[in-house]
Amino acid sequence: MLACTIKGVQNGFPLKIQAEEVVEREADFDPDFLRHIFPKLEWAAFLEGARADESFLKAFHHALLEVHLEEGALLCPETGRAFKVSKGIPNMLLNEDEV
Amino acid sequence: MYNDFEGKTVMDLGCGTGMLSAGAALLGSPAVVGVDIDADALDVALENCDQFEDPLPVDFVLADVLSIADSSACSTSGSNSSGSGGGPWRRLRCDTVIMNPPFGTRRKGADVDFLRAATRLVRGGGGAVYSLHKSSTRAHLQKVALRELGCSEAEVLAELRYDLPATYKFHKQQSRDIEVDLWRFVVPQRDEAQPSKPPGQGRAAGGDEASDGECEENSDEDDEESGE
Repeated sequence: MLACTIKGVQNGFPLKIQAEEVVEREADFDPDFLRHIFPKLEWAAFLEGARADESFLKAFHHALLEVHLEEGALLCPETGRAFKVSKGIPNMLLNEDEV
Repeated sequence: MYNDFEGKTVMDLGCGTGMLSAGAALLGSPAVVGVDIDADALDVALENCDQFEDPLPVDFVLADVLSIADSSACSTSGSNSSGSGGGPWRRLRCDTVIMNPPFGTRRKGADVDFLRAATRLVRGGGGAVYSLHKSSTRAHLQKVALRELGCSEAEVLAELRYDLPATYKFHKQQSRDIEVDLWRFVVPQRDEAQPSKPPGQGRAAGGDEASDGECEENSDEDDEESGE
């Protein structure tokens, strides 16, 4: 991603966006490409640029507030311990031997 | 009145059947999370929230509120919890906490532990805690809030008379009127600018001490330790 490369600059990223004109260009919806780029994105920088965009906010709204995990589990990345989710309620209670 | 609900994230600690959670949603919170240790109570809470025509933005979590208080043990002194410390619940944050905690009659200190958890959740961004406590603990609670938990304000908004029916086995009388205070505690905003500041400014420690001092100044409460 673009950064300020002036000699001696340490925090030259992300560049702030000063918008005078913004255009939209249609692109093919390609889920495979999106999955490919997903882990590589500098998310903090991307969000800084995207936060003002209405359709981004709508997708964000949908993912944040409208998609609910109803049944399943949340897994601890270290131990693999499953915290079951039932009727949308995560059970975070520990067994006695886990405290 | 204080703008603590409209557009704010709210947590309801010890939410029980979720009445306060639903209330917070009706007051305009777009995201409410109710936490309780009782799975049966949460089942009823789900049913209660389903009664409303429009779906309420309320979620429930089965968890032990006291584990939130425990995990904040290292940050109750008011100093650095924004970085490494703070335990497994340190990422849990909200703007406003509402709660009707246990009064600490059976398990001494449960009310203060809930308050500790609550102030921990709104720390960082700064926020308010609404909580019901027995009036007999008023002076003590104010002292704890201002001196120990880093609140900048602790105000009794209303006094209620609460008819507590015998709900637990250890309740000896059929029902008992108890006087209850509705409190509003304010936790000041932490200076979040510090971590992103370039190194070398080196006044983080001084800043924290200053904010601790502020809390002390406000604690000019009357010292009437009333018994039960």
